[in-house]
Order: sequence, then C-alpha cells, then structure tokens
Amino acid sequence: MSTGNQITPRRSPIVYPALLSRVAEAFRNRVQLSDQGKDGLTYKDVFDGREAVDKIAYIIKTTDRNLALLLGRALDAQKFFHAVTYDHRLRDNANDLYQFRTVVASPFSSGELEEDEGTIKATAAPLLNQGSEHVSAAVLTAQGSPTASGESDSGFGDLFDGSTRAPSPSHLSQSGTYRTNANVATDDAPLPTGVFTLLTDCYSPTCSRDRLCYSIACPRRLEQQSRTVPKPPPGLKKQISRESAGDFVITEPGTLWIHSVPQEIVNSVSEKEKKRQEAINEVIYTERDFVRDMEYLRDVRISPLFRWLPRLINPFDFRFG
Amino acid sequence: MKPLKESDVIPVERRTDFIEQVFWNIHDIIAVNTRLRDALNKRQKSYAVVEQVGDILLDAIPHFSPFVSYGSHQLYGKYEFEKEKSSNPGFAAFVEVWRMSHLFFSEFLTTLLGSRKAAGIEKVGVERLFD
Repeated sequence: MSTGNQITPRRSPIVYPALLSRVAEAFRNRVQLSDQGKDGLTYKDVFDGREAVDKIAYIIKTTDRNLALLLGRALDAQKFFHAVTYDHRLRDNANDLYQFRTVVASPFSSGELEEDEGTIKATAAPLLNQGSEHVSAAVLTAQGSPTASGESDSGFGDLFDGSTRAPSPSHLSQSGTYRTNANVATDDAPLPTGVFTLLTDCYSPTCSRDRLCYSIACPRRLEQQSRTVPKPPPGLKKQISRESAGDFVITEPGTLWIHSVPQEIVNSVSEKEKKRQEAINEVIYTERDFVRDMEYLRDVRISPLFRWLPRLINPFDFRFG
Repeated sequence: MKPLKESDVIPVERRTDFIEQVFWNIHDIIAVNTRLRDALNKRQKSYAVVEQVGDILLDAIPHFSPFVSYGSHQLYGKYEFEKEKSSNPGFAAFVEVWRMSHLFFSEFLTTLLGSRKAAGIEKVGVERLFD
C-alpha cells in the first residue's frame, strides 16, 4: 500500500479505485439522474452509459475508457445498476439507459401490475432493508478473481447480497459469515463489494501508477501499460456469436433445396428459379427450426419450472413434483 | 403441478402468475407457428418445385396477433423475472444452474453434431428470456 508516497504529476483518484464499494458510493453521489425516454417509454431516475463511463473514469482518474467500462461492469455484475431493459451489461453508449437497483424498483405503472406490486411492497420491503446490513462483511472476499473483468458475476452476487423472501432463516444465513447484527435501514439497495484487482496497489514500494513494476505478475501492470504504451491493445474482443456461426453452415447436406430434389428437376429449371427455390426453402426450414426451438423451450425449460418453482419459492419443501 | 397447489407458503396465484408473466402467451405463439409450419411442409412435400408460399403466409398473417401481445408484454415479463431473481436467492441460484446447463448442452451438441441444428438450440430465445 504505497498510495500517495510518490509525487506524481497525475491527480490521484478520488477514492481507492480497487474497492468496489468506494467506487460505487462515489459514483452514486456524482451521477446525475434524470427522466429519459427510450423506445417510447419514459424511465425515471436514469443515467446513460456514456455518462456512467465518464463518471467512473473521472473517479478513478483514468483516460482509459475501456478500463472504466470494465470497472463499471464489475459494479453492474453485482446488480448495483441495470439496463432499463435488463438485456445488456453496461455499454459506453449515450443511447443506453440504466437505473440503480432500489428497494421497490418499478419502471412500470400499468394497472395490471398494481395489485401484485402492493403485495411485494408489503412483504419484500422490510426484508430488503434487513438485507442491506450484511454489506461490509463480505468485503475482500469473493470478487477478487484474477480476471476481475466483471465476469465473476451473476449467481454469486445474487446469493450473498440479496435478501431472503422466506421469513424463516434460509440456508444461506446459517453460515453466519455474511450477516451482521447491525440493523441499518436505508432506502438504497446495498452497495456492491469486492476488489477490482486490476486497480489494486502493489506490495512493492517502487511500483506506482506511472512506473512499470518489476514483476510481470503485478496486477497493476495491465493498467500501467495501457497508459504508458501509446495505443492500448483492443481490450474486449467481440465473440463470434454462435447464431451467425450457424448461419454460415449453409452448405450442410439436406438443408438446400438443390440437394432435396432429383437431379433432373434441378437441371430443368433456370438459375434464377434455383435461387428462388432456395429462398422458399429457407423460409420453410427456418419456420421448422423456429417451431422446434419453441417446443424445446416449452418442454425442456418451461415444464420443469412448474415442477421446480414450488421448491424454489419454499426451499424447505422437499416434495418432488 | 401438484406441489404447486399443495404448498401454501406463497399463494398459488402468485406462482402460476409468475410463470404466466414471464412466458406470457408462448403457447399461442407455438400454436400459430405450428400451423404455419405444417402448411409450409405440406406445400413442400407436394411440389418438387414450389410455385409459391406467399398465399400460405397471407393466410397465416391474420393470426399473428399473439406476437404483438408477446412483444408488448416482454418487458413486463423481464421485470417479473428480474424481481424474482433479486429477491429470491433460491431462484437466482436455480437460474444460474439452468443457464450453465443450457450453455453446456448447447456447447456439447454443437461440438458433437457440428450442425446448424445444434446451433439452432442457441437461437431458442432462452437467452432473450433469461439473461
């Protein structure tokens, strides 16, 4: 821990950038919330992706937007905020809107949900307040995986930062380590906790934000390099989606019209007609694929849910469906 | 379905309601598309060189209203799903296992068969509903 020992021309970060809880707090204090529209719906108290990355970059005093984005994703991995549409992670884009997780977060005000919301408020709110107590206890556990890229996410965070619905103690609280006895009631959802290892200080006193560490395993090295090396390497590589990968395999026998009819018929039609037949064939087999996919969803995914859901909602009900 | 009715910790309406809110009218969509698929299959089997499919589509399109309903409800379903996930650790863990198994099986099938059929499973739309 050698922060502040060196006098550097750089401004130092506002908070220790490796601690997610600190960054989260600074972020929440600085980000401007407003009401914004997207796809014809107005969302209350939201901020956009570009602004979020701006603020994080400002908080940790970096010019590397990619790094700020990674840190932001580490925050959203713990559900600190989420896209208003719930369908993507933080993106450095002014058109994507995000909102903080709150105790009762409802972007909807439709009549058909009202009744349901009422019961949720009644049952969940006090429990969520209780839930906010076991925040700090989990600091420095869990999240410090070497990648720390925000992929160490999902289920894990959900398990330990949320509240329990059942009034009886859940299997989680039996471990005792993730709960404290303090009874703090706040309206805000708990802050994320964890260590973003890319931004941790090094144990070596000669290692600073601007001087490359002697150790090639130094967690700071990546960030140091990204600033000292003129052009940072492309950090996030886009994965080729399997969906389009599948579309390339169009020459597979059996899916083409030309392979499904006798050769003399193929010979008897014009080139243009062949193309037309392939197009028609594609309409038909994609419809077949779609129905098969939906049947898969129904039989493999939805039906088991009917069996499992009672036990999930009541973990102590061990009857099998 | 039985334990769903037997357990009284959470009202039955809420449980069935949850599934309905998340998946909405997917059964109607399956029904519409099954009819369309059968008509297209029949046409393809009847003719080696298919004259047209536009008439079949024109017949089917008046019955496409379930798509409109599904589309306009999608965000509500997503909201219900996220709400349950963030307030119910058991459900959150279940979803995680579910997703891993889905990834595993689709990966497995893709590797094994190397066909667009296996890749098609990835397209199911489970991602859209459960990510």
